[in-house]
Amino acid sequence: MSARALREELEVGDRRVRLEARLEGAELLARLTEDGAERGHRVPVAGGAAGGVWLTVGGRRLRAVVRRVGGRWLVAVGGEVYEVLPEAVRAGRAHHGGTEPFATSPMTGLLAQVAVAPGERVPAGATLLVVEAMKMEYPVKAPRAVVVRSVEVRPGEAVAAGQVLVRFEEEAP
Amino acid sequence: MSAARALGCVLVANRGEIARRVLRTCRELGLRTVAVYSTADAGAAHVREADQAVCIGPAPARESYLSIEALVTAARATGARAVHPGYGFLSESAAFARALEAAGIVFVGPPAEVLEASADKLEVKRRVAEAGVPVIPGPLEALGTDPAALEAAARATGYPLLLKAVAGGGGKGMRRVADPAGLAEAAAGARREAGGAFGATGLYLERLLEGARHVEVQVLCDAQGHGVVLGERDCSLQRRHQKVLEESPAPGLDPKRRALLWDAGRAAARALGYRGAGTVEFLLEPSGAIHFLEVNRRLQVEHPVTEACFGVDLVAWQLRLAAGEALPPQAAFASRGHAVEARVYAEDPAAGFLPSVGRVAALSWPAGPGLRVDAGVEEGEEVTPHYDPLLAKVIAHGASRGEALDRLALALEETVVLGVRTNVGFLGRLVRDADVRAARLSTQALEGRLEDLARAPAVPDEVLLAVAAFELLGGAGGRAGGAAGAPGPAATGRSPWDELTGWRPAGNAP
Repeated sequence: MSARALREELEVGDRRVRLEARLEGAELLARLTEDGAERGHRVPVAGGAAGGVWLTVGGRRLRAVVRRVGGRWLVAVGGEVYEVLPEAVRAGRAHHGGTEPFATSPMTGLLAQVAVAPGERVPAGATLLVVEAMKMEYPVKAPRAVVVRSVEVRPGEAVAAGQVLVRFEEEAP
Repeated sequence: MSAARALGCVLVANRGEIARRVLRTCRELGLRTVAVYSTADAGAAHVREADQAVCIGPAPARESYLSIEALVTAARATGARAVHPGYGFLSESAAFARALEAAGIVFVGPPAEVLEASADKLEVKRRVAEAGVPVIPGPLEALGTDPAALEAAARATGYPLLLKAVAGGGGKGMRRVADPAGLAEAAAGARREAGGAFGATGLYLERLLEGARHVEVQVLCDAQGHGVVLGERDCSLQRRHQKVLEESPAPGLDPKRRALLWDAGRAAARALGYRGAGTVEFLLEPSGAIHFLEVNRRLQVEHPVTEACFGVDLVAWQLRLAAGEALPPQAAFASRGHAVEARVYAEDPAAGFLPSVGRVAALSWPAGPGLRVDAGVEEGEEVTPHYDPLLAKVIAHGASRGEALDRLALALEETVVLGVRTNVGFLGRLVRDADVRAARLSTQALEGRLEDLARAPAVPDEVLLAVAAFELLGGAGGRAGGAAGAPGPAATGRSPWDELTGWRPAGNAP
């Protein structure tokens, strides 16, 4: 029997769960606490090759593949992929709600076009610049009426998802 | 033994899954193989799998995979006697075919003069119509720039209609026009886009056939003037002109309608003096009427469904035809069962299908009777933003359509791609969808349903149990190497069981 045990506060999709688990022989004992309610599981498990784990849930054997990437778990099961975030990652995420003084890239790609210049007044919804990836062009639009303070990238440059592309003046235009 | 062997050495002027797929057939035919790659693809699987690989330039396609000069130089330097272009890139470029011809190298595709003559879509339409093949209603002349003439042509064609670029392709320069009010603006936009994409602003009009299905006929034509049809494919399920699910045969076609379709495909190929493998696309109206759409002068992405049903290797046939071999009679080809293909794209359905890039952290493909996977990437490789988002194709063949769909559904459940977001979950929901199961298909079927189908299901407890098992079994089941196998912070915490007394997992209490 393994002496190791696990306790994690996790977020996946719209679920926030406290997971407590340990192994008992070939069985996994787990308790999920969510919105004050508890649910227990006792499931036969086995490790497979290359990050695969086998679980028997509700009498059905299923295979999941798990990887830890960038501080989170990626879990593939039943043809779906889930990103499971530990508390530490979750707490570090910024929540601005569309009022940030900047616009970021929605995806990793190349900057195809810049449509605005510093000092320019831009109405809400107007295209600021265009990011291109995999032959698809995606316009980055002004989240509200803004005045452009600076454009941080040039056409042809590689941009990462979430990278700041344009900064706005802080005061209302 | 096939004539293809005489080609000796073949250079594959492409990347990703199609390069690997073509390389495999070349090896099977005993041909020496040459791969080409851009600097962004130096670590790609197709580079490793060829006998020889040549770097042809930097990441941007126009400086590498679209560089005729770099490719001809590579073919010359490696002693390649033939070049297979795959699909996309230069596969339908008359200039590329000409340049190879001038270098004494065989282009595995239709002759340059056929590519030249068919670059003008309206000219193709005219020639096919003259051969008696029904075409989509609309004038057979390019539109003038006079607004009154444009309006008159549109009125005669009937709304809703589609504006198309004469030099078109990939949906560029195409606009849907619902009524006269939007006509002038749509035409200006289409001209601008066509000018930018093709350097030619010519437009033509076609009626928009609503509720139609996209059905295409696979043809093979030899240099002796003989042509055969290898069935049809239904590729109606599309998202933004990008095919998602394809199958063969087209469901619900009665034998008479099917014979008519095949004859039309043969007639269109003959009218264009076609040679090699090609695809004649049609729209099939709910009434059963068919209309010629266009001809694709290359191997199609979805060719494996035809291969599964007919038990042929279309790439081998391309090479044999390029080497001058004659086709057997039509009766030598017969279709069996049903095949369905799902395209695995690096995109995030939950984020409006935005492209997704990154390192493939885990990859595993389904295998079993009646299954085939053509994949372009392997575990550990980077998916970059430079090229097409197609990662792989999963193809299932069964005795019936239902069996093929069941098989594909399970195959998609077993598919694992971690590290890059993909549409695998979306594909699984699509394959199990009631409308798809019932073959209620049309090119507009997915419109308005995308958001629903893109929505991931509620997170089951299994996901959390899998994380727990992964961690407690020593990360990666105690077997996989690398960083994933190292014990993480999650596994080093104080045991919660020290504090837990009298608690029992639910469902197992006596």
